[in-house]
Amino acid sequence: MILFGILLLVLALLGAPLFAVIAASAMWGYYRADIDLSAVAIEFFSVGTMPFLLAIPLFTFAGFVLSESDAPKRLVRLTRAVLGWMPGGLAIVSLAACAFFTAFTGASGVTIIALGAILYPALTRAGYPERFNLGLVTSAGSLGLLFAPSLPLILYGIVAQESIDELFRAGALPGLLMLIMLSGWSLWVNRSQRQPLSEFSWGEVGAAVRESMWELPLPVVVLGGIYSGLIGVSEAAAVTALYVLFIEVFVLREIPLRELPRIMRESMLLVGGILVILGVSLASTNIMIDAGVPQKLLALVEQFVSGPLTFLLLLIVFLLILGAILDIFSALVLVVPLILPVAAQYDIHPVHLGIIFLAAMQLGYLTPPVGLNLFIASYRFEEPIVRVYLATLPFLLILLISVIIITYVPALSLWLVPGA
Amino acid sequence: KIATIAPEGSGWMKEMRSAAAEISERTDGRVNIKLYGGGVMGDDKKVLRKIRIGQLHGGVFTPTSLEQIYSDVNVYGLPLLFESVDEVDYVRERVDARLKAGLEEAGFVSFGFAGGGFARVLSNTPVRSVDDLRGKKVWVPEGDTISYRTMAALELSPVTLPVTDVLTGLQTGLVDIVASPPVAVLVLQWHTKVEYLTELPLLYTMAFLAIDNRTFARLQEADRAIVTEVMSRVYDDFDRVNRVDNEKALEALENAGVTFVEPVEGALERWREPVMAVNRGLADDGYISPDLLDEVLALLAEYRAGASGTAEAGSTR
Amino acid sequence: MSDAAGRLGDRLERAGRLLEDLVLIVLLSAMMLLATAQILLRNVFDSGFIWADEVLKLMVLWLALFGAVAASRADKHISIDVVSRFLSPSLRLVSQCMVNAFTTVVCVLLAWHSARFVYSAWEFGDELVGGLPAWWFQIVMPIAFALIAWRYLLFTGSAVLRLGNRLRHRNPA
Ligand code: NA
Ligand code: NA
Repeated sequence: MILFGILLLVLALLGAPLFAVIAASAMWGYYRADIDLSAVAIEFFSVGTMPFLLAIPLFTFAGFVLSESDAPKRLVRLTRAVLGWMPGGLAIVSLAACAFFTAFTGASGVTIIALGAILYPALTRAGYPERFNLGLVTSAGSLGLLFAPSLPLILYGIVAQESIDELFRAGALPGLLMLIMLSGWSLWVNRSQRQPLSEFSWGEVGAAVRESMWELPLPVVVLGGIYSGLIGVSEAAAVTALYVLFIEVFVLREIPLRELPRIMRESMLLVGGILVILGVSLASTNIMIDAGVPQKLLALVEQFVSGPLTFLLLLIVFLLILGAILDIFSALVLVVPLILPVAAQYDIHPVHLGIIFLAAMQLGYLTPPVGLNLFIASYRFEEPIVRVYLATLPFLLILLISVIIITYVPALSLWLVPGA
Repeated sequence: KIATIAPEGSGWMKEMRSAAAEISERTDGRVNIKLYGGGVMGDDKKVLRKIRIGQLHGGVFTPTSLEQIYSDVNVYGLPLLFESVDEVDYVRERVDARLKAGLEEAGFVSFGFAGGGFARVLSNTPVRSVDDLRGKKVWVPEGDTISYRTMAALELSPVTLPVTDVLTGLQTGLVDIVASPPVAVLVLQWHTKVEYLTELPLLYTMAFLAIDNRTFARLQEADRAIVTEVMSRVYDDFDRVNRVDNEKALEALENAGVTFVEPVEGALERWREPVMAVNRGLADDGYISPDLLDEVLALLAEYRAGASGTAEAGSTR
Repeated sequence: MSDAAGRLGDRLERAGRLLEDLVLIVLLSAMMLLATAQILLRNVFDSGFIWADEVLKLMVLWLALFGAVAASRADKHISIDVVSRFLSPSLRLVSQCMVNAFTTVVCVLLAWHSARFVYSAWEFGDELVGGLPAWWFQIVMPIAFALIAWRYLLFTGSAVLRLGNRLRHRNPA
């Protein structure tokens, strides 16, 4: 069994497609558990029944269209006009935009594909160091999980039977902390990169806004649609895709119609690449669930707990491991009910626990070797995976520090929750 | 190996675990039941596929998910069939055995049905008559044949959205009206986004454990008896406890500030006519065996005739 | 290989690619239209297709699989390629043979077990989208995995050929 694992690892490092490696390990797992291998197909078929996946092809396509148009150039001009006096202005705008976007899409790598595809060239064009940009765009892709109305927050509320409204409040400050800490880092790295305050001009702001007048209404259209009850959160992607297509192809005409098939093909290539990995991962996750791996892992960790402080520390470690092997939704329904009673023993507020849980799980998207966001970034920006690892490392460390702060300062989560 | 969507840590799961422990002990470890809660094995359709290939051996299902295997089990879930739980009791006492036998013929052993109470109408504007539903966006769960047909008969347009969109949908006005049993409403926290509940026993819900016949047949006869005894007891308990839980859930909804409204005089009758036509249509199309529907209706008529003297005593809870 | 056969191969290759592109474009466009049509129908005409959600989700499966087939054509699947650039050209070819052969075998297995899955859905008369046979929608799985397997079989073959050539040139018999 170990031999087979090593063999797969070697094949993976030699460049075997990730989906094939994961599929092989899943089939091996079913085989060893004496389960009919068509279980892999049953799991894979869920790609066609899971409700959140529809957003992936639609946002991906929208991202490809935007990145092929002049939208990145306009975005740079606009932020330079408005925030040029601030070092790292565009970096901070990028972080905030990603967090915002993720809160609505629920972080499954969509942010990197859709927004990263515009922000990465924009940041490069604005003169930020390449490696910083790669790290920023990759790590920002999981930011925002703690902001309403993120789906994992809602799901935690249902699983733990805690008020979803309270969770929305509780997530605000910790989410902001992560955002501020990453912004601080961006300011520090780019401290030399700014234009003098005197260069600020209303004329330039006006011109930049006019130039972007077609893209700027997009968030308003989508959010307005959601909050007025015209569209569902899950329908935002369709509206975005159609809007972007209409603007760039028919209004601004930056993308000729004959280029559209190529863009569609290329974007769907990426979608196929990501979704086959997701499909076979469902199978490998299922084996772990079938064998009760999360429960065993928890039992193992529990042995070392001696008090609330060690509990919290081990909890973070446990969640980081979990985040690396399970997707966030499976982890929620599997593990939360198991750790709730343990946490209660140490007087940890269930709302606080939820925030810790999601904050730590979101790092799982970025932890080598198997963070999904790392692969997606590597693929989308055509950078070697090791380079992505290294570029993301400082961001990962900062996020880790923020998770530790969020864990050991419950007030941060509970301050806005009445009566907690 | 049995899968359910009941969350890990819920009272239901605890009961099932202790039942599993008891069975394992009394069969000297020959029968070990492993439970997968929280829906981690997937939705009902997926669980059925996994039972087919033998990865799982049973699951806890709602009647709609067995539509393609034994659709008669949906008979209690026909809309506006029952007026009170007493009626349900009367009918179930006489029909449960037939449904159990039908399930067994379709390949599943079951140990009794746990009633989940009546689904109620929850809304942001009071719903007292069919007219109150016009122009409103009514959410119906995906793939629910009975709901679709009923909505069509009432000339209403359903909104189909993923369950995960309903909570935010109720807040933003994307969805105006949902129907669900009170316990589920509390779990999904929909009550925080609606104002009104209509006191109308819309349809009777239930859930039941179904175990693959092939697996069950492999057990020794003595072990089968033990499993049947323990599980039947547990499901009887669930049936009883759920009733109390539903009462409590209704109280909790009222305490949470949901206003309860009654249908206006005659509204029920106006609803019932097209809806019963739908029910009959389902029987004509073979969805429900016509003789089963006739049997249930006859029992209801019998009960109503017998209880007409004390009709007012019937409780919709 | 004769010239005629080569031309036929080229033509098949081009037709295949055209078909892939066509499927991807039609699916993606249909997806956008159906999703937005739902919004319009609901808000303007107070109606909607009851089965739209389920169909949209199934379209995601189709897009995913055809996207994966298209990605295989250019060997553009997501991978962790860290070691190969440190290898000598011959070793790299050996590694390519192994990796491609492995992927072929995995995809053949996936295709075979998907086919069994679809067969059982057909046998039991599973239904989707309100009464349509489920296998209509599921059949794409074995087909796509078989196409991917075929693609990687070609890659394996070409890697083996190149490796053979290389070895022959190095040790002329
Ligand atoms: Na998502
Ligand atoms: Na997922």
